[in-house]
Amino acid sequence: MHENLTPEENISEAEKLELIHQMINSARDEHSENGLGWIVWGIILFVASLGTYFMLEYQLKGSFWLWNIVFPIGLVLIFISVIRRKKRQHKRSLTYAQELLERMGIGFFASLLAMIAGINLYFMTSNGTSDIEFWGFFYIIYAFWMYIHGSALKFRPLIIGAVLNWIAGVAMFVIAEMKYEMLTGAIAILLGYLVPGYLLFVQSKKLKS
Amino acid sequence: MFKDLDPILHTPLRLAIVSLLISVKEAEFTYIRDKTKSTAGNLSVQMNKLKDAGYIEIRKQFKDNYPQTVCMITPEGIKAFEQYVTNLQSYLNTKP
Repeated sequence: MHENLTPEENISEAEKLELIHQMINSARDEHSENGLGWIVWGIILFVASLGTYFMLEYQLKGSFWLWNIVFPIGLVLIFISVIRRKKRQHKRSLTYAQELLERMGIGFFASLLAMIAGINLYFMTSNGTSDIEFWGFFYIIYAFWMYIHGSALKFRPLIIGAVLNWIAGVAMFVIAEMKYEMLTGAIAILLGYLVPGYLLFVQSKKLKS
Repeated sequence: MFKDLDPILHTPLRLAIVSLLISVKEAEFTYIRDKTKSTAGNLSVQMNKLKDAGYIEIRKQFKDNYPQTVCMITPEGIKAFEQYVTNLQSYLNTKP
């Protein structure tokens, strides 16, 4: 509509309002995601959960090794994505949502690592015989992250995914058998990460075309 | 009775700059230039007018050895923009 704006040209009040809307929406569109991060993490966690379920179901040895490799893989992926993002380009604008998400991201991952460290310390100091029920905590804290993302992006599937992960997290405290906890987690990840991630990916493709 | 529209925001380019900056915390000069589809010279002149009015802040710095101009709206600019939009809407609401 307003190609090559010049300071001299005169436009009507309605056109001015339209221009304001265009500019505000243009800046807002800067904060978008392609969903790939959600899909990659979703696949890793889904494979770990479902894999552990099958290992427990068929009584295979070393049923936790899948989970033990998730975090090193995750750390490597985070490291690669940070380097790639830095190389690609520096941000030409900083939206309020981006700033908030960056700050919350630091807080979130710090909380997550602190929880992992705390659990490890617990097992190191308590002879490893106690049956602490910690799986639900992960899903609850991930739900928090999804909810914040979904709210900032105004993307309902992520918010619904967060609610499903909250329910799954709480349910894990009453599910007695580990393998069913893993199965519940796999379903929560499938519906909470992979489906919204895929929808974000489709949405971003549509926006680009 | 119509309220006067702020002459500083009365031109499309200055209005576009302020509308863009209202939605972000800060933005680079090149980003504003691309979004408003304006020329660097024209944009620079209009931004200086907004700066002189106290509506925006311009910060010049170096990033990765390259000069970088970062712009942000001031609280005064936010107030003026909000008032401008309110006045603009009153014009439209009273038109037949």
